[in-house]
Amino acid sequence: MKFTVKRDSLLKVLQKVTGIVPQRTSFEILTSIYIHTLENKIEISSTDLDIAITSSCEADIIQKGDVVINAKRFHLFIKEVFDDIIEMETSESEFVIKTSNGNYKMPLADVEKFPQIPEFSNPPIFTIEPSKLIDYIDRTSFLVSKDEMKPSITGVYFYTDGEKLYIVATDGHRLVELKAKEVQLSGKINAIIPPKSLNHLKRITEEESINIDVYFESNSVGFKINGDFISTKIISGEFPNYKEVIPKDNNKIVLVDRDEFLYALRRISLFSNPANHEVKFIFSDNLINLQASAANIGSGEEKLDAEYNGEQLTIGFNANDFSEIIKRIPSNRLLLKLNNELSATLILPEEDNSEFDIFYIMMPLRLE
Amino acid sequence: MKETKRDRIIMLVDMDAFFASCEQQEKPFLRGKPIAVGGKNIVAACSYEAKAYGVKSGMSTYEALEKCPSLIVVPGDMEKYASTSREIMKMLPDYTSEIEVFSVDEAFLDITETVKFWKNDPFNLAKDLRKRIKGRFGLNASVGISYNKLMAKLASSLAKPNGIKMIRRNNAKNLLENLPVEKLSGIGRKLKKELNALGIVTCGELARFPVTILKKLFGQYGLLLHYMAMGEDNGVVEEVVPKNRAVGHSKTIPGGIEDRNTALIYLFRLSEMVGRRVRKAGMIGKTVSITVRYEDFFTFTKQMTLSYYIESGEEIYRVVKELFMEAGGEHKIRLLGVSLSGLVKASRQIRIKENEKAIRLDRAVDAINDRYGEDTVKRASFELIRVPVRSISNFEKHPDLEL
Repeated sequence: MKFTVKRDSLLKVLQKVTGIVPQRTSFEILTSIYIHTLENKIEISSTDLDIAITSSCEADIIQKGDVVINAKRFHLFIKEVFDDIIEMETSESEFVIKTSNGNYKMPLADVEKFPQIPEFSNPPIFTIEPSKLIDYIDRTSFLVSKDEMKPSITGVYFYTDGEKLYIVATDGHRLVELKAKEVQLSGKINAIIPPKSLNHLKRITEEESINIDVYFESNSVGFKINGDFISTKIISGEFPNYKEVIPKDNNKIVLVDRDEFLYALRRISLFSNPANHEVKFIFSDNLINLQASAANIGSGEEKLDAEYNGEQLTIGFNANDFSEIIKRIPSNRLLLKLNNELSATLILPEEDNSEFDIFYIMMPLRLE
Repeated sequence: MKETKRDRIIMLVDMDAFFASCEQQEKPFLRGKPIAVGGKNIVAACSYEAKAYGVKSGMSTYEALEKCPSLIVVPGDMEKYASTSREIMKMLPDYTSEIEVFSVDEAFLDITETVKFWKNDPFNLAKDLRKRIKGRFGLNASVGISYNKLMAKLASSLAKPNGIKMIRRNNAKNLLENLPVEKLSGIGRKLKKELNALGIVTCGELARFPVTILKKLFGQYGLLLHYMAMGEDNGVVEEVVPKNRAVGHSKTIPGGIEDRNTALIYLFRLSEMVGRRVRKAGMIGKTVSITVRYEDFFTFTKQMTLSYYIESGEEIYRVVKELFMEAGGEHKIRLLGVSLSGLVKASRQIRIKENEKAIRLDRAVDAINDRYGEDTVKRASFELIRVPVRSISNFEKHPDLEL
């Protein structure tokens, strides 16, 4: 194998693929990257067995070949080289890097031992603009559970009902459903994706990327972004039937300015019990009264104008959990649908959105 | 530190030689005699009569008998001390609502607002409380009164045995000047050694020692030490729950059990008891532990910390069941224990799957049991076994037991 490559393009590729290389592992081979030559480019892959990333860049291929070398050292080294073009080749059992500063040699690992990178034979299920997919992930993936006893809710659930794509997540006391109305489907998907994989997807997606193709096959999901490919194992098990818990008879309607509400919650939360950020929301005639107090911390109270004309209702919420939701509501005013102090509250945008529908469910604190 | 508001009046009620006194009270023939509570190996607590011989808690029983050949060693009964303690603590709300139970035998009271009912004299209040404790339980309590918790604690140690001592702000400085640092609550043997090594023996010396150096050596605690040496402490009297505190119950099973399903019923019951006590205290916790002791005294313990807080018996049991799967099953089980720790005082987050009716039912059951006594309402499967209430860990693990 022999090729020359632009230092900057190589570095960009390495930044994408080395993010998942495990620091410590009992499989030595996972600390490596796989370099493969194509017609006029090189393709570099890495995997931690859960996620695999492949990225490529243009190169002048003088002689084709495959090598497996240590990921971290190669990446750190390329960072320290300032030549525009770097030449690399295999010589006997070593990988030789030639720069204007000198020559460097790395041992080769066994290409055969490098894990198989999953490939998808079927066409993509759907294609989406990267900015949109990342936006959907941002509005949902913060709500995954960390409860190891219930693995099925530790991921973001992507599924199709035959017509539309849904993205759902829950942490056990909050839930979000996003229905992507514009996404054209050419197949079915039913996959619980680990949030770690979605974070890596965000990391390798560049602003100039045009489209992401999403593939789904048995136990893996793949994302193709320009020349890059990331695939992930999905979480086994079934996502709970969340439709059951969507409240249907929440008929107390509140409309309130999102930003005013958000800033009020941020202020008042500073005076709440740090264990659960308990804030009392007292809904009365066109008013939301927010109250918090905690021993050794102090207390706070704010009144906010809102549209509401139901009976007075006091509900306790974790203010931080609540803020996390409302800052992700895509509208100037929020719509809250309440029932009572012990049951779920629905949080939605006031205006409909042509691109997607979204709602959040938030459970209250049990006030004594 | 400049005071911007009126000083509070803080009182520490501290039972004298509590464990030993409980034993002497129960068994009159032990009264007036040097006794020690403990086992074959170690003295856990001793009476004032024994202290006069130089017996101390933490001493080996062998050494204690050397110092005091007439020493009577009685086995300890935590359940008894804990229930006596609870009864005593129940009297405290007659004096103020601001109470902090500090350990099994001591409690802080903020009497700033209530002292007016005792002719504005804290001594009157303290005398009344001491008289009532003595009258009802036959036990002596010492009382320290001062302007903060730190100094009230110091005052009570000076009041012992069986006395009342008040430290006013204007005589605090004189008192502290020559007071050895280890007399302050919060300065233990190890810290004393470190301070002594710096040439700091008295609180006066500690107060004058450069704060910057203290901070460098002890971090934030260094700054605290500086203030403590000046008799300053801004801790509030409130029910504080240290992070490692746990609420737990255990049950020794007569004859032992082999059947794992029966063990699960016991565990369910214990979980419910833990949940109930946690709820009663208005707390929630996130670490569940189980203890399984086998016939051969091998003890299996395992814990799991959740990512969210829980308080109900059912939620505790869900984790307990999971933990119990990892316990071996070859031997008969003679003891089972369940505890919840990582406790905080806060309202619980309701989970999505809970239904509103179940929450209301839980509350109703608690209310009935509060009113008519434990177990007035309970689950049907419990009728199969009787598990008396017995608390563990709460007191046994308390690091500050001064007996």
